[in-house]
Amino acid sequence: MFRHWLMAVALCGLVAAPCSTFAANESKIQADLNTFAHQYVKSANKRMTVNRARPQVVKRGSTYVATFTEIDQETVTAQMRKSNSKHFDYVATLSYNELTFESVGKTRKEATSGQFRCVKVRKLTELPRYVKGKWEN
Amino acid sequence: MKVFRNALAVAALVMGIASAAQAADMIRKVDSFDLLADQSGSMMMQAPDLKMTKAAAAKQVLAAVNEAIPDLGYKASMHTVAPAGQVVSYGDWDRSAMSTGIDSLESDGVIFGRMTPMGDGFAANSGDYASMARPTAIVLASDGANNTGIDPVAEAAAIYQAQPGICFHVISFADTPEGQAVLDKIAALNSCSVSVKGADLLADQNALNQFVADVFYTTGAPVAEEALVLHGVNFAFDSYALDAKAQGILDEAAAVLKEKNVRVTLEGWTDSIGSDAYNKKLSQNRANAVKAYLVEQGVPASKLTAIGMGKSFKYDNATEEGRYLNRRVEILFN
Repeated sequence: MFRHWLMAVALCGLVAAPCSTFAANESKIQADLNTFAHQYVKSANKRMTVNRARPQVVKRGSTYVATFTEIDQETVTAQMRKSNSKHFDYVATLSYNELTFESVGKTRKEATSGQFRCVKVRKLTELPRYVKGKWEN
Repeated sequence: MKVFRNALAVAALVMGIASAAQAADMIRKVDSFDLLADQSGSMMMQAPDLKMTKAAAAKQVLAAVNEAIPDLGYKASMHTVAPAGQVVSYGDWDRSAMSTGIDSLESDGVIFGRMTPMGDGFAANSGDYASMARPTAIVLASDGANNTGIDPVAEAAAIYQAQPGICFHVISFADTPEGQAVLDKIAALNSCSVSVKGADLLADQNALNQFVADVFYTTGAPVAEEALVLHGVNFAFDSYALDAKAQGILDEAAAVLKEKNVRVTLEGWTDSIGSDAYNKKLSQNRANAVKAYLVEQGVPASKLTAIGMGKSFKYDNATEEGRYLNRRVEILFN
């Protein structure tokens, strides 16, 4: 009886401990992914040539139209899973909405200072990879 | 008289305000459009119900459509078939220039000896369509009759295959079952198409406004485009061979595509380093390489169209990070 109990304990040592370590690792990797996703989106917004701080203004007939594009940070989600590839351990589905806004005015200034409305929505997905202990895209 | 003039001015003002308010709620469904007029001999024949030639009726309808399109910053052009040609060159849509182009169309020309090589016309104009901003609406005004040369239905299908983001819409002036059948087949190629009778648009302003709304704009939330964006799909220097990491990324993308099982367009983009011509060719060859790899992974070739877009300026090319973001493959779900 004691021998069976000892075997069960030993088995738990072999199986349960690595499992809990593995789960802990995955939680950490998911947390890293969340941080990575928000930093990535923030950086992408900053690198947009035409952005909220620097809208593009074009003359359309007798009016001016100011436009910019940005990622809606409220829509960012990132979910990881085990990769099927031998090149990386995990892959993530990073999803967000990229919105294009437009404002129309009689002058360039009126257009840039007017109320911008959303005229285009792109639902984008990217596939970041977990390589050598960090997320990359 | 003065009262009448004042009333007219007030009415014009109210209409102006109303149309400005309407435009504020409207969102473009397409970024560009082409008006495509059939100028064949059969179109120069009388349509007894309309008491004018079909070509004259098509001119009236196209003019009315041009007037009803809201000013939402479209790009536009105008072409003809039978004979194929460009009437208004591609650029920012100018209602007045388009109106002049429509006025220049024939409405009572020679009937005999002018069959309709509509498919040849589609093929001849397709080069111009390739450079139009997407999504693109092609508004065909035709009777669909007397076709000769390339099958127009097959040619329209070929354009759909090669140039995703295009949609053919039909304004029919058909007066034979055969002509209507050809136009119906073109409209049936893609669920995006709107198909109407020219006579209905002439008779009913509401029908015309509805057609314009269906093709050109929406008043609700903008229609969302969906795409998978891949960074890090790298190639060896000046080569089209995918490196091992790129293959891993594309393995994951292939899994997504097989699950979705829809037609997609692969757009290859480069950063701004190098000449336009070099980057255009490079991006096309690399898009082709990505397509070939995805096909090897079991994604059906018939569901993939590869387009080299050349240089991207979406992100700041002055920084390495911006250039990295510009070098990408976008997989657009059509």
